[in-house]
Amino acid sequence: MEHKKTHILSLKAQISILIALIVLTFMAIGVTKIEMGAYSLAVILVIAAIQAYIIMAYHMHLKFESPFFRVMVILLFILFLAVLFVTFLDYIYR
Amino acid sequence: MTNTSAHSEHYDAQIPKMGMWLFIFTEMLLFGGLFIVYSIYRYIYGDAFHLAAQELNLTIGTINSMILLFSSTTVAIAISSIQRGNKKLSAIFIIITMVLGIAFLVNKYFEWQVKIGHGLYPGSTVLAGFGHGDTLFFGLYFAMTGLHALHMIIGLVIWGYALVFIQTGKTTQDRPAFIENSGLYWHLIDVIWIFLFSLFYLIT
Amino acid sequence: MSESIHETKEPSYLEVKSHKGIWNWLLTTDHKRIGLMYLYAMITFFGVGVILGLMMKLELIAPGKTIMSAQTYNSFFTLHGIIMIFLIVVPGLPAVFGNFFLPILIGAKDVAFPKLNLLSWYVYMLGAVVALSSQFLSGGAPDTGWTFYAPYSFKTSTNMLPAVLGAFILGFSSILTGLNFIVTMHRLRAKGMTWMKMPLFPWALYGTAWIQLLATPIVGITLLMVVAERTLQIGFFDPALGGDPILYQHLFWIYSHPAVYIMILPAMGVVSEILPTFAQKTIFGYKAIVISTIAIAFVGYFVWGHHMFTSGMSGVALYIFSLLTFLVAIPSAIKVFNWIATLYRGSIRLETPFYWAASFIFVFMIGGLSGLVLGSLATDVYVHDTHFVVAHFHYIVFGGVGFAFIGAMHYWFPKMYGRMYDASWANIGWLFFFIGFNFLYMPMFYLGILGMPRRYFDYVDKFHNGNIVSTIGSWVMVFGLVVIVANLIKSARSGPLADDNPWNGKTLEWATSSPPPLENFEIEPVVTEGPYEYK
Repeated sequence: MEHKKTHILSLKAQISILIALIVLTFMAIGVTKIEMGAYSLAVILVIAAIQAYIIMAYHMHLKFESPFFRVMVILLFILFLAVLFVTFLDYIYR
Repeated sequence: MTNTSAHSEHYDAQIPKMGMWLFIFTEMLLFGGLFIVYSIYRYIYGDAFHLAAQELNLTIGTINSMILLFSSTTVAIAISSIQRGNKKLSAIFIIITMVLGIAFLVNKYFEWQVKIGHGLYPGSTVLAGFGHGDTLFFGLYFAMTGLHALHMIIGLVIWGYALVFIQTGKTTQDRPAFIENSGLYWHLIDVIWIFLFSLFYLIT
Repeated sequence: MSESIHETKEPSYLEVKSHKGIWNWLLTTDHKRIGLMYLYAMITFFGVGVILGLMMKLELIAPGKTIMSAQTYNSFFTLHGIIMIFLIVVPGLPAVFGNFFLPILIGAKDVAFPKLNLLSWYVYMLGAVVALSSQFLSGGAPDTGWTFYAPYSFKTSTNMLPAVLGAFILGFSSILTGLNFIVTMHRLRAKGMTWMKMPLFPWALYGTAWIQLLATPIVGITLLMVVAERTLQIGFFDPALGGDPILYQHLFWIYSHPAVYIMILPAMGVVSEILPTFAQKTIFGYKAIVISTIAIAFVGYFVWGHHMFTSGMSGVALYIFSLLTFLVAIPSAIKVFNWIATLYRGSIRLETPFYWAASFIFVFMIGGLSGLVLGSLATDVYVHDTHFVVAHFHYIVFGGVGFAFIGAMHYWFPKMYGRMYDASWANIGWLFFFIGFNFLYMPMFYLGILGMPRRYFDYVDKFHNGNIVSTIGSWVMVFGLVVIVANLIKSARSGPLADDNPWNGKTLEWATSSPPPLENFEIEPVVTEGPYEYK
């Protein structure tokens, strides 16, 4: 299975990825101008996560790799968030 | 699925790729440690972080974001060029990437210099006068963007090697692993920057 | 087996000489030679660590100052900890026996990145030199303990930077080894060796490698933060600048607790190899052991807070960490039951490796059960930072890793050197070591419950008796150790030649010659059955 030809994106696809990433950056900047209180952090992080997803899926080819890589990346993020959560259990209730 | 142990006789492209991804995991967690520290202190000193962030220059930050996003695209083109067998085009786009990387660092340098000129650096008395939240904000700012810049410099060195390897024929259409892995590293730097940008420059 | 003796053999890996003299070792990319280079480096460092430990026990033989000042004692327990943790037990089993036997056990010719493997050794040596240089530079030996707790670690005037940077570099070596092993196991298994036909030592190394990979970066960045703290006054953990010292403890133990599993998982793996061979019986519950290995690796990541029960964490965090700590005891207990069940009705051969594996179970159970005392909140407050803790982690870390390491040494010695050791001397060494070990550490439980704190060079009179027993125990144990090491060194040079399969083992390392040829197997092995199919 690993001998199948590597997937190569077309130039057009590359450009549309770039445009999507730029638009998302300006959306995030725009969000800071709107008063949303605590929600703005959440929105900004969601936008950053979408950008990270696009880069990892297309630029870093995760979308075309064997599932092992995708599963491990997802597990890694879960692990990090879980560690963060457990650490916060101390600070929130202190 | 099962692979014979004969790695000398036959090239297994998965091996370098898997090695690189595992290395990227460790890099992510290296920054992850700093992100944990950032989250805790932002939670404790939310208001001070809010005010301190006003000192950062959103324009310069945005320009740097654009530079990195562009460089990620040039990297992707450099990789697809080598995969199609066009070594020259690949080399050109690697050079463009390096120029963009250097532009990012120059930009960062001037940004730091302005901050340091205003006394906003760890250990300064000016910063100590602002209180704990600001001290930690700028401590984290310098530590995290500094570590990121260090990775950029390492990335630039790696691209230098990539150019040499294309020239000497060590990296070819059949064995593009070095350039692919350098690309993974560069994209990782980009991903980390996206989060740094959101967490330092985009605090409302 | 008889065929391979009569055939003309390929030269063994020790006979292949591609460079001149010492360069055969220093430039080798053969995983077996690299494993031996780790072994020799570690034995050297271990000797230093043991001598430091002996001196500390001698200091504690009587109240008051006996042979050293308080400051010297502080630097001794710091250096003892740094050497034993960062140089010996964390890299120990993976770097020595993992390097030597992982590729053989899965039927590969080498690891996935042989050059990176050699680089890891050099990084390890560099880290060792940097860490040990802290002892000799002006400014004084570090006195923080191996944990480098903030804020003292950036307030003390002693040489913290080399110690901390050394630990950082050693972490890097550990990451590279883990990375190499994971890729090796994913890509280079022999034909027919599915994941569920992989022996248990590789499985343990697989779990270990993931922890090495995913936990070490956190301590890496934490140590860099301490460096930044000392050089740039950034204030991450400095209360005077708004930082939180407890956050340092969180970050440190996010790595260092999983590091305990980096130590113990390969040790469990070794025992899971030795026991089936010497019971001549299939391991009981292969799948349960595999699953519990992964479960320990995963749950072990979230129990770090039990090192901080008295640090001032929130109540909620205390309960959660205590609960998780009890959870991680379950997979450990599963393994113990599996080992015992493996022995049940087996045809047991009382050879030296078996003694080590069996005594491993004994000391591991004492260490593990005393860990539950420390994992429950109320009792932990009482014995925290006393000798009880010292006894507990020596039973786990030294008892666990040490017994497994020496057991592995005796189990695989004929394969590594192609020679057999003197069994009666080996058994005598084991007996003294085992008895001395228990006399050394058992009284510490008792002293801890009486309230003797750790890391003090002095104590009140009522602790005297326990300390005398403990110190005498240390002499007995070291005598045993000297016998063991002397016997092995002598046998490596002039012991009788060993058979290819002296223990009648079923895993792949016993299918090749002793010592193995450069590329491990003359004919590429094809695996058709599970690893421990006896009878």
